[in-house]
Amino acid sequence: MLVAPPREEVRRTLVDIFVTVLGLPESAIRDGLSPDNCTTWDSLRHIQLCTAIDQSFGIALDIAQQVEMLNFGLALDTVLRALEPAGPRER
Amino acid sequence: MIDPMALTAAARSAFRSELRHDARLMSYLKALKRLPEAGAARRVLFASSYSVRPLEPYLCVEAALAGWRLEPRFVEYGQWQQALIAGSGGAEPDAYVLMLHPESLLAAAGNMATHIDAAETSIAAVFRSFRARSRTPFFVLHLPPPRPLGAIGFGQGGTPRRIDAATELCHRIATLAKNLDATYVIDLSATPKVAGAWQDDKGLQASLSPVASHAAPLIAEAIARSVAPLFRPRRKILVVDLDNTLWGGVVGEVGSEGVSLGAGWPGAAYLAFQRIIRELGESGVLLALNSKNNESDARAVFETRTEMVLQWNDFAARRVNWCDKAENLASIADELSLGIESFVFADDSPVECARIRAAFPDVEVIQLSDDPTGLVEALLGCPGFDMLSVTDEDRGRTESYRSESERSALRQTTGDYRAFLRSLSLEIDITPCDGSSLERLHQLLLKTNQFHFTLERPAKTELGARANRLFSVRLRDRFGDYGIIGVLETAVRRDAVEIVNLALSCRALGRLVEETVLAFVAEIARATGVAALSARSVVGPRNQPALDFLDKAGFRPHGPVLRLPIGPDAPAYPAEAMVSRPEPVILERTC
Repeated sequence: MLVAPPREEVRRTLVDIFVTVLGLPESAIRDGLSPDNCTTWDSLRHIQLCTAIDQSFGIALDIAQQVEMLNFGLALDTVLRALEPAGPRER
Repeated sequence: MIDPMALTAAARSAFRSELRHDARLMSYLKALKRLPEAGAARRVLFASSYSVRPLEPYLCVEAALAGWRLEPRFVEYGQWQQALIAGSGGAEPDAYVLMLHPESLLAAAGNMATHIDAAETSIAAVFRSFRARSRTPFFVLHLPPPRPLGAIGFGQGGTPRRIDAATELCHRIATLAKNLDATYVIDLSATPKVAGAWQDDKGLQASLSPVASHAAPLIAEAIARSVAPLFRPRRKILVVDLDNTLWGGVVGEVGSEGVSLGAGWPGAAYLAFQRIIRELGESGVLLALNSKNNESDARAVFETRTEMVLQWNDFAARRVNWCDKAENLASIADELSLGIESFVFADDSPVECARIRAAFPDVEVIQLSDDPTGLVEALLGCPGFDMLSVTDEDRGRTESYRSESERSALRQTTGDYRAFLRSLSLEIDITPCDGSSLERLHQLLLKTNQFHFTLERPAKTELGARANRLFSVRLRDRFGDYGIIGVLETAVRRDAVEIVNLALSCRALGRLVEETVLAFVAEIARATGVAALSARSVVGPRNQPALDFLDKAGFRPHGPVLRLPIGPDAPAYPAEAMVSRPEPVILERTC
């Protein structure tokens, strides 16, 4: 049975991604971090964030999910949702 | 942990292994932070019909792995025509790379045949305008033809015409580029892991970036390796093992009849490997053997196994013995007068590979796979032999080294050195640089380490801009034609004729070429009416022979240059060689 990794583990990996892609210290990574308050978070880095997230977690964010990642907190929520094992399909 | 400040061949190899094992973006971003910033950065301008900026980290890292430092500049996608026709502002780059996505160059609907012609005409006009403006090396990469949809439900006859059109446009772009001067096509179809599986429809739709993330490092590697030969010399020699390398099994144990060679697995894999090695040899790479075996056992395979692609005489040097392989390698370098940094060593034994890496960190070591089907891929993964184009001198190199053996034999029977030189019937030609020789002169400056006054490694465009000050030096003797073995750059200063730079291939040293070039420069001085020669030089790790020559000729420090006053005993042409050179009236034009 598939089990999603704990939230804290996902958060640590995501922080590493944001630190590496955006070139920020770990202390700068907080839920409200967004393109509006981070000068290095431009459209190119956003693409790189999405690529690194896909590769690191073995998921494939769709375009809507990529667009919705408006800050770090939302990115974490998006990844956690994507990692949730699929439940029974509604008929 | 790799020391990023010491990117020796061994360090690059370790970096490469890491990244080939884990090619995710995060690995590249982290590798980028560990790369040294030492060495001259080469400015490459990337123009494209799609968004290629996401490739930046991959490109910078792959350039370092291929032995050069990239400083990329990106033109906004869609601006590629303007950038090529009118420049992009700022200094001219060292190279241009144009990346095209053929499918997006075609109009969305309508008559595809018309669209192909229109796209081709438009691209051809841009290429012509670019070449009229700039002589900078130009690389053209088009993404491979898109995957046919026939296999997933449209049926073989149902491939949409738009995909056929994109495929046709790919071919036409490649043809246009191949017909343009100093232009090179980066052929991704030679990278099987890219061809057919590079597309990212989501990326194309969301960010105009059609390259899938798994293909990005492969495309970056293809670009970095294609451009690299502009900026660093090619490795000159491949040294290979025998057992489980050129054939399967250990000849000392199973005999020449027992080793695996020929049709079927694994013999066919070893033959495929031999064919690639032979092609490398034909492109100018010297081949040598370094194997722990009884020589008679090894020779028996070459003599009795008709399947062998490579022959005993294809190897310019052979060490088949029980000595330490590092000692063997050093003695091959000595015998062929080659610097150890021009060596590539390929062996299936991890122990031997580790031994060579430890003894010679600048030797590129290829650890061959246990699985013989991986042999070819391992060799092709080595960027050291990449080159832009093959010159006549490259094709004749193995023959040239073979002639050298015959000369050595003659020398042993001719006691007096001058008499030996007379017996060679030397012919030395000095000619002004023309379009056909520039490629070779550039190659000489990149490759020559020992007899090289300034160790300058200019970009080909820089050198081309100074072509009117360059001379090529060619050498022939009764055993063969050495080809162009020297490049001389001169300038007439106020009170001296300056040797701005001189590089001579080590194959030609001791054949009176040095003396002849000096006499030639003295002749320019006399024709110009100045009373001294001057020379620029730098002290490098391996160019002592050049510095010794200047010292022996009488050059002495004089401000920032070395100087040699010329009087009645001015350098003269050696009597033992027949020299052909341009008339002094031509020389004055070089001032």
